[in-house]
Amino acid sequence: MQSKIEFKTVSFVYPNQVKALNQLSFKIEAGKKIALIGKNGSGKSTIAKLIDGLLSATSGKILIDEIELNETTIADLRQKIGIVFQNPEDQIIGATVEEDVAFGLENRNLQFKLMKKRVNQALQDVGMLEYANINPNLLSGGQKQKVSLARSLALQPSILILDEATSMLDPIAKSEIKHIISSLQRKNKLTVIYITHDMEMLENVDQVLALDHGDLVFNGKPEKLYHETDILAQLAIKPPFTEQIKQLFKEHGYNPPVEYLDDRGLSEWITKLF
Amino acid sequence: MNKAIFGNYLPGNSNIHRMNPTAKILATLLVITWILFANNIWNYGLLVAFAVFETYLAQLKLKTVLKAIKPFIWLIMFTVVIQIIFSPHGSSYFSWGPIKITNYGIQLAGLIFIRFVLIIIQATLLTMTTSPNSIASGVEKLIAPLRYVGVPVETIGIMISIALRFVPTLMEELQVIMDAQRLRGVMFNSGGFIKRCKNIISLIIPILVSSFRHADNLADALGASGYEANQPRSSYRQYHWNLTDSITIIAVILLGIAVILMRTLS
Amino acid sequence: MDNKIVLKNVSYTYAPENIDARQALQNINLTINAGEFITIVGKTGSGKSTLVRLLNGLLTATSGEVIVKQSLITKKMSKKALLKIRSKVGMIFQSPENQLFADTVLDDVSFGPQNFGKSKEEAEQLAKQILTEVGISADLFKRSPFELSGGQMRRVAIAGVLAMQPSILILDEPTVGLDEIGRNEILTMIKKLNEQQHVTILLITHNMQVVSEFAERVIMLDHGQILSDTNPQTFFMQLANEASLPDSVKIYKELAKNGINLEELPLNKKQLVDQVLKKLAK
Repeated sequence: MQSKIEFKTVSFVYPNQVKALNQLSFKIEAGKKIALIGKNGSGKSTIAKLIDGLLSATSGKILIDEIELNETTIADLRQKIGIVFQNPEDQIIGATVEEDVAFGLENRNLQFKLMKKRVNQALQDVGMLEYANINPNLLSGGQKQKVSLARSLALQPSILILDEATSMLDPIAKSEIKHIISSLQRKNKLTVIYITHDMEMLENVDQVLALDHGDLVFNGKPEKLYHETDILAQLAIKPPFTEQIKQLFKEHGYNPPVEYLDDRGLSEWITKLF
Repeated sequence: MNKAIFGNYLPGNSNIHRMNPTAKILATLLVITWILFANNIWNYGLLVAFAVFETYLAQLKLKTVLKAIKPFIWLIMFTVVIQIIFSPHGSSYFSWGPIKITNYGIQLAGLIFIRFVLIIIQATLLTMTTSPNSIASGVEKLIAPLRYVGVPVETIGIMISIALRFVPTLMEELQVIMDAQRLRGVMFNSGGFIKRCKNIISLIIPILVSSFRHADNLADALGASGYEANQPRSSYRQYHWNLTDSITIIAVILLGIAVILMRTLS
Repeated sequence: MDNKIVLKNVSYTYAPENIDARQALQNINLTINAGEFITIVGKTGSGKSTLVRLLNGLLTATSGEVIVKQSLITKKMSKKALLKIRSKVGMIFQSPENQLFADTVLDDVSFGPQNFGKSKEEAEQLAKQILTEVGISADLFKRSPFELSGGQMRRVAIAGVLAMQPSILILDEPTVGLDEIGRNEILTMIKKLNEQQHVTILLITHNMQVVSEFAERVIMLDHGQILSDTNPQTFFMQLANEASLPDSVKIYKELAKNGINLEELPLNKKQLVDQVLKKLAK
């Protein structure tokens, strides 16, 4: 179950004439982890809604697995896509955790036995099986997001979009969700799109798409982005902490490696200085 | 802060808790009808005994159930007192101007008192043993026949569920907004009329704005989960009509026959 | 004016008349001096929100004494006395834009000062000044707050609290959902208030990066009790949860594993690099 996505000169203009996307063209290969970054209002969420058919493009083509997204194909293509949104409060519909996870399956008119199996599997995958009968109002924000993730997974998508899904969570919940998604991505061969303004989420992604005022200003590997100081400034983002440290060492005449280092990698490099 | 508490549902695993909500609502409506039919100490006695029996089956304490009467106590007292002092019939014990206390008046007041209490107890037993969402789906099933006259029954069901789901969220938000405005110097229980209006507006506008935002986000989440109004949906929540449900309905019908037969005893 | 906050043996119980009453705070003893910059950390439900609501009379302690600016906060205190406390203790909630309601930006920001007795003109003057400070330009003053972008709405809401010129400012996760630049702008503004106007800051946060970069004192709550009350260095050395440590601390610990012990725990990138260079020079 792998899916690829292609945008061909896609533009989107809101009914109030506000331009959200300007002639975007890019490809997302199947089974990859992608980060879509940009300031608030840069058009990131519009892309997610276009892919899921919640909005439709003003002009241009969107292809999912080579099939053009349009009114006749949308119902089928939407089945390939799961989205988790930002606010944990606004996605829970069911009265209990398991009923909530089953919501999308009910919409597909599935038999109870099949639903039960998929609900249990999805809850197991996000580590929330023991909460199946709990009222979701009693859960923490991080737990609610896990339930929302399970609701998407129960639909067995091949593309998973996380639209700022961790931005309202505490660091522990955030790293838990990151781990769950990484292991699911490996297990289910998902194509994952992180829509984010959090640099931490860029770790381990294969490709970064950066948007500014509806224009694509960067499309490439994250390590490359860290050296594009102009683009970073334009996007109003700071490079990751380790990159900032590397920069400081450079200013003091040292020569840190060009490739991206995480905290441990950077510590290794510093150790070698002694 | 008590996010789970809405209505007065007390989760449990008694036979009554496990009943099909449609059957439970139907039974409650029938018993309330019988309460309105009852007219003397005998059939009221029977209904009181039935209520006690139900409480026992629901594994609830009588005290807990009786507590639910507390908010209505003034309304009950008021009605009872009016009955006692303004009843014109029967032999009089005491009279002063239009006020007349008669044996008939006292009797009637007693019956009205017990009628009130019994109806509240029945409603309480239903809400204590049935989650708001089960009540919603029970109502949905009961109104299901209206589908044939064009009523969107499933959509109403989803609407009720979502409304119930958001009550605690909005309550909590209202509390925070109230706190925030208090800290901006609003005293909700003081000031002149115009001041008070402005104070209330400082709550209403934010909660409206927030409701619209929730609705907007929720619409996206519903769409992303493949929900479309008026499409056939299956149901994850399985309510089976069990033997208990049939027995209950039969028992309640027999109770009604008994109540009506006993009307002639007075 | 004495801006000290003193809590003596403070406990707070929700709905004490119920059998299932929950004790939200137990035996809290705390002194906060004027001009301190404090962060309060702890899990959801550890009592953080309850604690800060005791300082402005939104809640009153079940037992013990809460003294703010030399007045004891009790249920029986007069409205006037309570208003006086509230006029000096400002609070910025999570998603403060939720409290916007007025027709124009200016009306909303001058609402608080007017409630606390400022004339309309005075309040508007103050509002204009504060709005400019938080980066809202004059052409937006007459606009509806609901026409603004999310980031602008948040600034207006913050201005609405700052316009009351509080001498004690409480912030409950004020930067959740903002991007890093937006977050730093707000925190830098708060830091400036603290440094230049000696406003006491109590900042509730989950973000350890924020703790390491801004706090002078960290109070950690757990199950309604103070688990630790110390400086950030000591706090991070004690903190068990690796996932939530700031990067500089993680690198410090990694280096220690490799046998390189820096003299002091670095709290930001500059301190980290300085420490490494110092060690290298030796």
